[in-house]
Amino acid sequence: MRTIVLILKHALRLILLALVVAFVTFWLSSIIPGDFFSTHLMESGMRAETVEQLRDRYGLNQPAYIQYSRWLFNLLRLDLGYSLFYQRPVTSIVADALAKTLWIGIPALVLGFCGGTILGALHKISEQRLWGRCLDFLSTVALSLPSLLLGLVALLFAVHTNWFPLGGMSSIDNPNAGFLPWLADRIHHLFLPVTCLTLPILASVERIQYAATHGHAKDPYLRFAQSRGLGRLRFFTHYVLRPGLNPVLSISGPMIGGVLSGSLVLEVIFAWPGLGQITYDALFNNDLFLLAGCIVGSSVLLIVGNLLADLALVWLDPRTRSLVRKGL
Amino acid sequence: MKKNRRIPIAASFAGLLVFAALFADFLSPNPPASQNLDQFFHPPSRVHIFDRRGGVKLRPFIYKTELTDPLNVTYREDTEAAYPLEFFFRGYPYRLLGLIPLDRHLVGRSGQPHYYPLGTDELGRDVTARVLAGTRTSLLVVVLGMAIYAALGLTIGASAGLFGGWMDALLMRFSEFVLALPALYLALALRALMPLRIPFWQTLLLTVGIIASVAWPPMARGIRGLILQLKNSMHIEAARSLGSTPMQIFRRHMLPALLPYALTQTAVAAPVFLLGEAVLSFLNVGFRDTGESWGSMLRSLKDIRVITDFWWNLLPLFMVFLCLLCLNVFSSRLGRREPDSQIMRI
Repeated sequence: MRTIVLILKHALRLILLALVVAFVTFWLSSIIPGDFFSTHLMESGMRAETVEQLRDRYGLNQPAYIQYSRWLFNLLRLDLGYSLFYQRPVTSIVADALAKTLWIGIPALVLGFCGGTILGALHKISEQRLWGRCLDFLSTVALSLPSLLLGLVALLFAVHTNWFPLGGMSSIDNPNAGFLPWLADRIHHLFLPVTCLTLPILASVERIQYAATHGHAKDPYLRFAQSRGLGRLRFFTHYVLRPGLNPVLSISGPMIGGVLSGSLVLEVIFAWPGLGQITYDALFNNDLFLLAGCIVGSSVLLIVGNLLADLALVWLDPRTRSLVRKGL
Repeated sequence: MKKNRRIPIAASFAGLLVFAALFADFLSPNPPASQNLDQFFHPPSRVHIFDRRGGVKLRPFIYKTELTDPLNVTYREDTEAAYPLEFFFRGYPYRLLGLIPLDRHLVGRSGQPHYYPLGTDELGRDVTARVLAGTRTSLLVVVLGMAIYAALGLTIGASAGLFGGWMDALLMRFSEFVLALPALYLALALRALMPLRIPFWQTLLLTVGIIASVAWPPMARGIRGLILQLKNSMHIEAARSLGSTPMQIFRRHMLPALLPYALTQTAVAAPVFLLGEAVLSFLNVGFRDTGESWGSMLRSLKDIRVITDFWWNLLPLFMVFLCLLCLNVFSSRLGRREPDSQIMRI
């Protein structure tokens, strides 16, 4: 019970943070000269009175705190306002974009964490062998290949082999061919962005798992398990992998932020209309409500991710339960 | 590769980069910003020794090229006349190390046809010169960034650890917030507040400042933890009972104990700044086209044709990769005890 309360407290903090950030967005946008309509005024030769009318209609002339409190009140009804650029409700845009980002983010996180823990532990136990040295070298290289570089290299690869599409979410050839072809097409489009996002996650997790396994390599419990005659697989999964559980899970919180950042770059490179791309466009278009909505969207993602990571940690590592009971 | 061999290789590469950054203007045959619209996407100039009749020339030479197909961008060498390369020739004026006015350059040609060791980009600017100038920018970002990062981390960490109480709580909560937010979103939002077109030096300071303001929490938290440990140690208590002021205690008895950690953390943060600059510039919010940096050169790779046909424009990509690799080799040796600091945030 206590655990849940603590975790909820953690989540509450993040929610408060999101609201503060949203307020700062409104406040700053009132300070910075220029808004969504000022570009219109310059480009399309709209009459000044019309622009003033539009500003009044969207409340852009009011002081920041009034704009913010109105926005906050509407947030209670899950209404995030109206995107000036897309001329659609922000809630639906952000929900769409969030789903599209998750298509890249979730596979990358799962693959990265599973692969990273296993490779990190393998790296430790085969350190003296050729295989271990290769892993060591490859992990250093992979750490130096952030999603930006990987994405560009992946484009190069796709252009020269023609095996993968260069971007977008689906091909236009078969719009309604049924579920399985649709899924295959989606996976085909997902392959490169997901790979590019997975590799940096995998490398970081591998490092942390390696360090954890390294720290416990000489512990007597390992020797005891071995001398009991356990099979190699059981020994590996139940004894070698274990010490990394806690450090790996506790970085997953910040890692979700990293995934969002990485997917922003990849979404721009692969023209994937996810949350990153939308936020990026909203910034450049001065689309105030959409920007605030994107902040709320990404915070929701972070909160849910952190909650899941905390719960998993409490579930998997009994030691954290006793720590929680002590109130740490 | 053997581990003990990695460090020397990385160190020599880093030395090479620093040399290239210091003498960028001397090494580049053409000014980095000058456009030559007749020779866009010019492939790397081919240097010849044998002339048309099979004779050997003493000095290596290049041929004049002409654009035969503007659509597919193909150039043909005109073998009528040979143009020898000039060494230590007089080119555009610059200041060596920012001080000595000079106009000598290592190798190239002072007149037409220009010598492009690594080709030109979409506006006919010399890729070699731009990569060299970009090396200077990127290294400046990294060095300046490390300094600001160390200063921020030490100040915030020390004030949280030393003052304790509400100050500590406030600073640590704040650092948790910054850690939890997606770093790139934060950086983009911060950058969006400032005007887009600003001079080179302002861009440099702004970019570095933004990355530092997103990256400081790990170091501040580490320093705070160390100070809390130190506070209870015997020698601090001894100093306090001898009547040293808190400032004296911090300077004489804590700082030396913090330094190894602070230096390691600062070194480990170097890749963050290199990559942060590249990402921000790639997303159009860092350096502009005229302030050459590796990141701003990567921007031209958004054009698919550049990737498919004009491979020499991929050079900045490899530079970023090699530089990151080199920094990671150092930091994986230094930061083995703090693997958390190596995780990807941008």
